[in-house]
Amino acid sequence: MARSPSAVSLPRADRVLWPAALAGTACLLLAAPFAGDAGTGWTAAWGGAALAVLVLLDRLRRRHRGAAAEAARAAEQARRADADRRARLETQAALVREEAEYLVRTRIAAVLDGEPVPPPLHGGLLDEGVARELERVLDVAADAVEEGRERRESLRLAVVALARRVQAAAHRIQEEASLMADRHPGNADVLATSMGVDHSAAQQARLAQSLAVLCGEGPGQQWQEPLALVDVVRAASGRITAYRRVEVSGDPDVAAAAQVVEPLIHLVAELLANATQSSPPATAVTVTVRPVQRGAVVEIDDGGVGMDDHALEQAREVVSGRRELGIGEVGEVPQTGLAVVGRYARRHGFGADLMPSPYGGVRAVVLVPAEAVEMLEPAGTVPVERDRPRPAAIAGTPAADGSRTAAAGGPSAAPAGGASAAPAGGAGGPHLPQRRSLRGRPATGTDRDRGQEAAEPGGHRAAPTPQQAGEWMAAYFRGSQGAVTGARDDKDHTDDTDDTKEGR
Amino acid sequence: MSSPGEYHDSPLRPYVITRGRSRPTRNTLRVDTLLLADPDRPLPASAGRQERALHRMCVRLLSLAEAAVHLELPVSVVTILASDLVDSGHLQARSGIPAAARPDRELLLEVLHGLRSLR
Repeated sequence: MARSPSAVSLPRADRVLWPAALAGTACLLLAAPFAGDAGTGWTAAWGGAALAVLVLLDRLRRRHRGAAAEAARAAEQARRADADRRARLETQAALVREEAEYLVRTRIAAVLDGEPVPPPLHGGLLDEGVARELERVLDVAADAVEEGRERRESLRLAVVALARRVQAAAHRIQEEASLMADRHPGNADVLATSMGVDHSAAQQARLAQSLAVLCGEGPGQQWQEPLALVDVVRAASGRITAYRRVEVSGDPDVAAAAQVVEPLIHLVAELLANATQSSPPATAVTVTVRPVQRGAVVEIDDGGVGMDDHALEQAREVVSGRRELGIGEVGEVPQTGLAVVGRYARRHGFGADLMPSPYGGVRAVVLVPAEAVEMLEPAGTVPVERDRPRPAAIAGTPAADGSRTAAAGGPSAAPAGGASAAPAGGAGGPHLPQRRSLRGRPATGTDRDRGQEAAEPGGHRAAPTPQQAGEWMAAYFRGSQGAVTGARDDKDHTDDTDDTKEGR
Repeated sequence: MSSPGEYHDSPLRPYVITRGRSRPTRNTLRVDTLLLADPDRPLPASAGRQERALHRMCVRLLSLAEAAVHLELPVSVVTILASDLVDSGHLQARSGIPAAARPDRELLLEVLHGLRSLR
């Protein structure tokens, strides 16, 4: 409590006044008995003294009042200052409380979510030290989050790398299995074994692929040609255990564009896996492919018991991609299938939905958007119409890249180089691919033209000049010389077509 | 179908195409068996693209090996498909020229030499 200057000077005056007043009063009291006996002088003196004492007392009283008032004023001031301080403290405490709450609820939450952190609620109002400490809390949280993120990212990359290795190893097994079957043509037991190995490896590859996709990666392989949706479904069925239960029907010429073939195969494979697992083993899983205005639709029906409303609603959230599940959220008994579907739906704009199926189970519907849908030529239209098959992708495309499409990929791939590839078919011998029978076939326009061309020299031959006959014989011998050294010529021929291929 | 050591990767695996079967329903089909389709007998709606392609290309007489090349499928897989189609009456199989009826290579060479010596 600070003292005012007047309050300090007051006691000094009091020290003089109080003894004087006391001494005066004592003198008056002691002198009073003598006042009556003494003369007028004494009486006057006593009266004077009494007056002086009275004046003194009056002054004292005034001083006292002044001091009391001063004290009251000081007390009031002190109370007011106290109240101020308390109010200020309470305000400050409330600010700190609010700020701390805001920090925990909003700002740290923003740090955890990796979003931009909003500024403090009461920027300039807070005590500086407190504000600094709160910011430090935020920094520590941000550091921890960053460290966690880095650790998660390196974990993710490691999982992806391992998944890719498993996937590549599975593809190598498939390749070896195919080559084994090729090396033993006509041996059904070898083919059966090759198919079994191929099938197991295909499932393994799918699991590894799911792992990578759940880590936010792409499918890890791509096909170069569009693939009919019915074949997409069949290819997908080859990656699940119960592929024999899948029955696909629908327009055979609606195709998925090359860039979505692999994502779509994997997506459908996961839906088929779900469908076959959640329905009795003896029932078929029916798949229908149909073109629609906005693209094409693949419908997968199973004859299981279906899902209850709650589970169905949750599953729909996941498959549609609205709720994205990562590798850490698929559960201890990992339910990867629907999460993979959702990832692809989100990434490629497929519409994926689930609903109760009229068959009793679940119907999964996949809408492939129009920009990812193509129409193929009807199967098998092109190949044999060519008089001389163009060299095609069989030998020309690198084998190891795992990025080629199937025979069904399109008519463009179909006119396979008869010259280069057929002898490799092995068992047939060199005469097989060269023959192009015209029997049993209605002549097309070009064939007719060719027939006329052939007929005209024939007409000349009826009366050949000696010169013409000589030329013909020479040509015949040149040709037959080639036939004798057939092996070398065949090789040259193959090389030729290879060159053409590379040139194309 | 491809040369030894060469691998043709395909999303559609052979076991899916044959629905897991490794043996054809008939053992009379050989690589040089000629196949002839009946164009007036359309395939059922459930037929796959490979069956359709096989059926359509065999409207002209075609050997099994050639069909396999065009389909880019292993001969053994095409054999299974073709024998299914033969069973269902969509394809006719005509055995290739019997080995005994083929002209002997030695004979051909002799004829050739004879022709040359005419010159």
